[in-house]
Amino acid sequence: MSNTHIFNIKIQERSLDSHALPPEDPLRELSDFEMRIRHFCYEYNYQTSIQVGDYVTQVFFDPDICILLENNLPQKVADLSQGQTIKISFCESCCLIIELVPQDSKISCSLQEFGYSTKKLHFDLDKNQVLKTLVNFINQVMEKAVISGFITFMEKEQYMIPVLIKAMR
Amino acid sequence: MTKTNKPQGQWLDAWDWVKAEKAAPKYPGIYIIDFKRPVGRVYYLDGTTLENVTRVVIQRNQDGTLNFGYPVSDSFVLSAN
Repeated sequence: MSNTHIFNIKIQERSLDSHALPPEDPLRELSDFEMRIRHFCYEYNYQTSIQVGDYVTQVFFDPDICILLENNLPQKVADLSQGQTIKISFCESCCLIIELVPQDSKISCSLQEFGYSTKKLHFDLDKNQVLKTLVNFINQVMEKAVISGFITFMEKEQYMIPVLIKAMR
Repeated sequence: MTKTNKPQGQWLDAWDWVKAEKAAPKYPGIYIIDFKRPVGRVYYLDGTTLENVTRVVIQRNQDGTLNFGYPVSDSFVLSAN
């Protein structure tokens, strides 16, 4: 870990400011599960800090994390564990693309801001630490959704199957 | 509108979102589309508002669906290149 930087995602305080309207799906494009996740992120809108090395940014469950969950974050994490490059983008609370490129026991991480800033940064990360952080984060979010009654424990486990399979290997 | 640390774009007409989807390339990526007519406004963090912005930023996912789309000012860029 000595030559690598820290990667951290921390769920912080719940935001009680309501700036958005409740989620709607008039065209019924989303599944019942997806809608309940949207409602959960809207009702329990936690601020979340993302730290890569000395770079820190703040996002929110609604809509940033909700979008990640809808884009199948567990499968992305599983892909990363299998050596595939993945991109995680935040385009609402901030404009940031995080590209994670696995290289043996490390991950080459590129941060690219866009929009009103075009900062580019690069960090070497520890692969196991990154994977553990991502899995723990998904688990924490889904656990909150279970505790608050938006999804069942079985739904959480089913959603997390890609990373659970990875953990069993 | 989300609580945020960057300027926030607001559509004037929600149907322009549909038009932006149709105009955006069908490949995954982040794109800027200029409608050449006012489609929204941008709220800045200092409380000021820029009216009549003509550009929007939009992201298409791998599966063809859209992640987001909102009006942006002329200073909004996708990369330094």
